[in-house]
Amino acid sequence: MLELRDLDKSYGRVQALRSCSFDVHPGRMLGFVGPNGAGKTTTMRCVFGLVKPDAGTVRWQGKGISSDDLLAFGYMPEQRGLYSKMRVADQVAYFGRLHGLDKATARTAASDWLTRLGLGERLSDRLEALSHGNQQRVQLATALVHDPVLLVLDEPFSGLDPLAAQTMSDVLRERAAAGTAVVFSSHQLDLVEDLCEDVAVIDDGAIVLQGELAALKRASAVRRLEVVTAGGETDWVDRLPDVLDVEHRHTGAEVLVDAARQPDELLAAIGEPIVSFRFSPPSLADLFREAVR
Amino acid sequence: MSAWRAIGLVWWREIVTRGTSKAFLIASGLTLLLLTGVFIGPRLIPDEPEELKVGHVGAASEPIVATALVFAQFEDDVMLEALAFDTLEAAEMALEAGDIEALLVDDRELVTLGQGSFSNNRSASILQEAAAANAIEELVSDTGMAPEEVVGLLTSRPLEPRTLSGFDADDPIREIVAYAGLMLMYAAILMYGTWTLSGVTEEKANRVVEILISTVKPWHLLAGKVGGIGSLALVQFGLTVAYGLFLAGATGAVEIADIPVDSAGMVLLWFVLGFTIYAVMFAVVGSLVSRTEDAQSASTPVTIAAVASFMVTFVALNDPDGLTAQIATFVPFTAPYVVPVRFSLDAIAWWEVAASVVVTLVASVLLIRLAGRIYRGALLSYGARLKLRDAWASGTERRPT
Repeated sequence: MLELRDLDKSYGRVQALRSCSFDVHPGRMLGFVGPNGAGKTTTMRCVFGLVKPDAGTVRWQGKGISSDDLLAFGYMPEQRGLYSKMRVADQVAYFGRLHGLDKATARTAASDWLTRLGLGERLSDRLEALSHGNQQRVQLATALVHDPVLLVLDEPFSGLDPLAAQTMSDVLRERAAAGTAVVFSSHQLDLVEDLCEDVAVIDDGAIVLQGELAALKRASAVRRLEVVTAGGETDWVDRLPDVLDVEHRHTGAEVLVDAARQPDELLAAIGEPIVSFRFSPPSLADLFREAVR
Repeated sequence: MSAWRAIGLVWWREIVTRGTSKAFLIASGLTLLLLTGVFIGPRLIPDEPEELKVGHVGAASEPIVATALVFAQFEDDVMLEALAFDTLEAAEMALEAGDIEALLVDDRELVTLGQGSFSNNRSASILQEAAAANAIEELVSDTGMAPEEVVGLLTSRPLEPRTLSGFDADDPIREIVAYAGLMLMYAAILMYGTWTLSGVTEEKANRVVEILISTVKPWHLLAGKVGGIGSLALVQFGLTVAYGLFLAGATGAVEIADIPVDSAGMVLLWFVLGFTIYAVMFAVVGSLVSRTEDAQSASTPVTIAAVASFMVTFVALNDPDGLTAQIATFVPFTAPYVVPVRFSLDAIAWWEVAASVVVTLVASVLLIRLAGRIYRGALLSYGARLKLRDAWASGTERRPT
């Protein structure tokens, strides 16, 4: 398990991290979300010693992180970059070897991963000959080539087309299922919701919400109500008790209400013929908005 | 993973990717081609002897001109023609017009145009030599000595030479090797320093640095890079020099067998050491900048150090046993220049050589560690060039425990 405990970090007067703590468990995926500049990248860099926290600890399996631990970790930084003149398979194998693989294993793993990520035909191309999206796949392969026990990915989905994003999701799910502890940051909350069992929400350097996503939803004080009426009007919203927030859609409206309200009670309050009615726990986006408000 | 393995992997990557790059192969090929041209080219142009014309006035000039014509016959590259003039005015007009290069007036005066020129006036030199030879011949004619005997005496060396070192004092080959090595090293430092410089900024420029430094220590990366780039540079440079020596030997310009082994070995050792310490210096400044464009200006202090050390060396070597030379032996930047030359001049003790090797090696290792620390400090500050002090201060970032 990766444990981050009470990390503090200041850059001059800017406090980047304030007592930031959360855990990443083997075999599970944690979505690390927060507004721009909230401290996500700084936190991830702390794991690799690229940033030294002013206070707090980062531990792996109960101990401080050693050089050997780092070799078994996989990292995809926000600042993407590889050797542009180097051939794709050589490049991935090189990073495999830096992570301690022997030559033959590194070559096989590089070729396997690249093929798995759809680059089987491009193994001997130079990186610069690949499209941006394909370069990103190579970047992912370098993070995966040594079968890391911990995967830390900073915005892995940014800039990916839907197909590439699907491949990325599949790979991450598969790694987590194989026992890897996975943490990634993203602004695509629906993706995080789809993929992750756990989330941590950071705002202004502090963790404002964390835990198992399903439990967080259950424990939330709000419920989401989606209603489409036969007439299509949304004036029923005004008749509901304890409305916390309203989103108007072209088909109808979605409303956040107090979790204490029961569905039949709300149904009665609407008082109009209904085409569809959905009463559910809040989405991650709802939790996020509430947490960073 | 051990430091050596990490350094070795980076080293090998540098050699493979750079060594097989088109730029490297083309540059190496062109250098060898150019060298071939330098040695073979002049042989393709036929050796035309220089045509010299001298004028002379007055009967007393005749014997000197006769001797000069004989002298000229012994010179392969000269053809001398003598023109007799009736009057001084006519002769001076011919000199003015460029028909002749020197004018002998009787046996007392040698007239030339007197305008500055890069080359000596060979015509005038031959006439002077001829006049001197005639004067000596006249002097010794009463003693009954044959002219050949007199010439033999003048060029003989009646004293037996002996040196305490056992080296032949008349044979400058050792100094030539040392000074040639010094010049080559100076050239190599300035030529290949920029390789190291831009190489060190490569990872920052293409932003691969963050994944690298999450795996290997910065000094491993830098040591591997300096080693890899340095090895390639040395191979390219070594090939060039070896090929040059081969051509020089084949064309008869240099007798390879005459090159003293100990002196050449010392030059080679210090070539590698000197190259290393300066490459490391370039790595230190390279680690301060994040863009290749900034690297050149950042490297100015190192270039100045290389040039200044080179000049200090010549001061020191005027007195190879003196204090300056002795101090320069133990300064890592000047030692690579000074030690091989002092060795060739037999002006250095073995312990001094050994100690300066150690000093230079230790300095190289310390500097690469320093570069690693600066590199880590400057690492995540992409963009502006970092001040040394700031890089040092933030270089204390370590792995969290």
